[in-house]
Amino acid sequence: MKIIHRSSLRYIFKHKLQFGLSILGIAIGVAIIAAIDIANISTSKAFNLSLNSVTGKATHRIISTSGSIPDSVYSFLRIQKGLKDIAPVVEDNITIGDSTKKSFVLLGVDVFAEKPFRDYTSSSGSDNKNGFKEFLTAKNTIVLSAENAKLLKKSIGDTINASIRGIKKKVVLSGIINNYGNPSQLENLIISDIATAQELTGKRGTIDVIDIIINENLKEDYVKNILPAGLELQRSSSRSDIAEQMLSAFNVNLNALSMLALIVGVFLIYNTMTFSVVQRKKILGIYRSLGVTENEIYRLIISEVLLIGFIGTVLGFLLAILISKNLLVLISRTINDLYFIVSVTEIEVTPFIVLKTLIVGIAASLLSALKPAREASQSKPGISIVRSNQESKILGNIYKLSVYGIISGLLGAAILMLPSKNVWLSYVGVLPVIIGFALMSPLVIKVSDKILTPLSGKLFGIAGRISSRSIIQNISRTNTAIFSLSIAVAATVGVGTMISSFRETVVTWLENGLKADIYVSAPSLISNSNDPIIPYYIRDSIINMKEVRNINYYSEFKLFQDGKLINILASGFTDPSSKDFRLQGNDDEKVISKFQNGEVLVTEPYAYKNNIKAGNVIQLKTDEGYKDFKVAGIYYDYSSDKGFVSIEYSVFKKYWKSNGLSGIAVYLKNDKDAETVRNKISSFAGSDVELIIRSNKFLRESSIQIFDRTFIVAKVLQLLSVVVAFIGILSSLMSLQLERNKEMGILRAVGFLPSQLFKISTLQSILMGLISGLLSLPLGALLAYILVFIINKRSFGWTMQLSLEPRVLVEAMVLAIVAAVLAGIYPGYEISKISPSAALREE
Amino acid sequence: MIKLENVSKGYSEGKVLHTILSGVNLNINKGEIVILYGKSGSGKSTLLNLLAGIDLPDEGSIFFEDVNITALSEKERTLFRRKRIGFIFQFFNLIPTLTVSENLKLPLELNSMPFKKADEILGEVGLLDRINAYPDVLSGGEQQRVAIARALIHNPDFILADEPTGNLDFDTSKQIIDLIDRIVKQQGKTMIMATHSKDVMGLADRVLTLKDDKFIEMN
Repeated sequence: MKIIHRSSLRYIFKHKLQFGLSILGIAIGVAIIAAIDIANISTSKAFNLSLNSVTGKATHRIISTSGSIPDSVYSFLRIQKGLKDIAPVVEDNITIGDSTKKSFVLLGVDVFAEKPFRDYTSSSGSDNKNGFKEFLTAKNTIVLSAENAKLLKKSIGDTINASIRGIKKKVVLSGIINNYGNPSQLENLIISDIATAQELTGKRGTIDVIDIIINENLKEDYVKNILPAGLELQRSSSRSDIAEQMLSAFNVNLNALSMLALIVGVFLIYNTMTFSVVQRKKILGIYRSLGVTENEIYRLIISEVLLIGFIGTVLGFLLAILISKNLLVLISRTINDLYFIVSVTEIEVTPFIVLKTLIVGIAASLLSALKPAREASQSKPGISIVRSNQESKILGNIYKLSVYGIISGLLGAAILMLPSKNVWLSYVGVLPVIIGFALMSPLVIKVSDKILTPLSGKLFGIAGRISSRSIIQNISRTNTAIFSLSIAVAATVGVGTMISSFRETVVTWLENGLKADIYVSAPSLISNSNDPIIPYYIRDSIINMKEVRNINYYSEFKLFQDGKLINILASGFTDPSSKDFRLQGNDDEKVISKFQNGEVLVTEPYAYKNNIKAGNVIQLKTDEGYKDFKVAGIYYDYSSDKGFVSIEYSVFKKYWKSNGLSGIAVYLKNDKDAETVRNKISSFAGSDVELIIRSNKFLRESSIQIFDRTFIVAKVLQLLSVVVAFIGILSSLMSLQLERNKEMGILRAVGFLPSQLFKISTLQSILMGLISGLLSLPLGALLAYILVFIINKRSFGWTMQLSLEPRVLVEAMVLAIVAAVLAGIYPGYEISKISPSAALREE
Repeated sequence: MIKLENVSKGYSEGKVLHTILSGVNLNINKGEIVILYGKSGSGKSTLLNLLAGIDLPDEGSIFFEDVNITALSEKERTLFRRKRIGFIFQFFNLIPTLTVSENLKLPLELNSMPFKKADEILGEVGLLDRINAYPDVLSGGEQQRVAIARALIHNPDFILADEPTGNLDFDTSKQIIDLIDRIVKQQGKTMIMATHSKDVMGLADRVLTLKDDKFIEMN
């Protein structure tokens, strides 16, 4: 090892706390990014594995626009058209278990057609080989993986309670699959004979999908041509493409938010490296006078940062593996709440994540060190080495820096105003805004000094004056610390305001939209989606109740069209005045009338993402082929970022087959008791049909609960960035303490007590926290504006009302001051212990 | 030999220009020890900075034998300094994170020279027993002896010294002067030393002082 590198290492070890804090900062920043990546990839892998277990070797699938295919179509294709490699499938969600319950995908298959597709039935490890034979003949028999049988504590022959499409059933375990390739593949799967699945799901005479293998012998076009109307040939992979499309905005925002802590971490490393360069200015000057070139000094500093970055990144990665399991729970719960069912138990660390983490961690470290390294390389090899006066350099350039700050902010604004829907571009636009504020922070510190120094002097005497003055005197270090903390606090204001604005908007929307007294829905594994499984007779029975004034009812239905998923919402109401759409524009009556006459309504996210305006025509694939529908209007809806196309119920029934309803909103006559009506509706359903009957208030509360749950991850990430900022300000105060050893030694020598030095240090922390807080408020408000009106809109298509609460601003100030004070305790303690003789002896 | 041709140097403070050296012409012969004498702020250190190639003159040229260092790039000047110049500072300027031995090896490593000379020169300055000590446990005199050893270890042709006894007591200063006399003179190095102390005058072949921005010889 070269001697100058040895010297560097010793310097690092001598200042292990500072460098250790930097490593910790980068480790946390990297850990969050890697953990989010691990969680996202694990979720996607689990979803694809479960899809693969269902899809098997099928290259394509035949689906129906209305969701179900008559049995006869399968016979037609197999017998009359001679297609060999096809297999019928019934697929649905099922929950089974007694003491322990678990949700699965029920896969109903035809054992005789299965062989080319899925090999579970021929799995060599299957216990009770007859299980697969039994489930052809015995009623309601199923086969489970050994892991799931163990989890549910069931063995062959056991009867298990099941709930499927809201109906309670009993199933019998007739076989267990052991040692099947990748056990995760069967983690979410229950297999049954197709007839059993039809029986259990109430899909007698129909199947959901026909799996097919397309190859040289069987061309795609040929199959398309022989398909009856209303059927579509789809690539098997298109389901995972659709899932990816659904999650893309969610993942982009999660990834962007995960970078917040690293951005704060970059400022932390920058601060540490700047400090280390300033402190070593003399050593670097000696190197230069001994003939070490500028480039060699530059490389020296960069190699130090590479070391710190590498250690931080490796530690961060290990930390990521630890925290990703917890994040996985939060993320998969949100996906289950909002998008689709996924069960993830194993974390997946791919080479891509390892590589990305290394690149991000090391690049962030390098980026933060470029300026300090350049400054180091420009150290003057003076014979009488003069300590670089960075402070006067910054103070002299305050106005220039502020102008650059304004230019940077304007550049950010220009990027944000570009007519694009790209979410990443919006985050790219945020960066110059943050940098703009960073460049303006010295001016804020200078102005604060003018106000705070006399004030602090008046309140706390000479100690107060020293505390406040030292912030501006050491601006090269205090500036970065103040700004790092203010970014983290501003992010808290921004994200907090975005969440509260969103919440407020959703609450208002729910209050305006949920006007009925009782809501009836079928149980669903996805919180914001209900399958259309409520039998029509329940709706008819409710309409005929004497207590009921009128009802609204709807069916949700997923239309797979040309590789895309369109959510269709068929809405019917007995009284148009009780419609629960909040329409854009003021012409409600006219729009509703058009809607009743066959035009469609679309939700705001659907309109935004598909560039739809009222009056446009959209094409939907019906059971009778493609049909044009004119868009009557656009309405506000915050239940799905994918959006809905809403069709009047009778129009819907004309073009698509329907299986039932997803929900019914019941309006009662004025004097009628909701509890009585609720009991009556339960009695219509009988004990076999599971219905969820909720009051208006309860539905509203549970919707808000789901809303709050989806933002837990954002809040956790936001909190972690505050932790990194806390580390940043701690590191900065430690550096200042080292720098001011001599000054403090002099103060001790002239009679200051240790407690007074502690007071100076603590006061300084409070003032730095105060300035950070003040700086964070406008930046936070701006971030909130960008998040609410630009990033949210581009991500999800929702319009929200900005609700900047004074509480959030007060909390931000308190957070900044408390973080700074806590970070100042240890350096304050160290300062109070300074020995005047030792400090003054220093050359 | 070192030759300064019409060298001028000043600095500006706001809009005011302060001249430190104006049209200096100077020849220093090989093996000569020249002392730049004068009070603080008289321009001695400025001249040493120019000679070391750390700073460039506003006008004029500086030749080390046939090399015009004012015409070299920053990197070339650094490499010239690395190989051909040795420095002795008032405040010793040892690297605190390196041991005595490592401080000495640093110029050898920079010049890709073998390390064996470190022990030899430490013996010459009488500090073999402190070879693994860090600078902060050495006395001022010991630190300056290490600094002198470091300035000479890579066998440079020119030694520049800025107040080498300025931070030492009388007795220690005397020891350092003796050491410089013994080693630098014996080895026939060219040395330019800036000082405001008359105690070191005995070392000099010539003593120069700055008058009206120009160096004149003292008797």
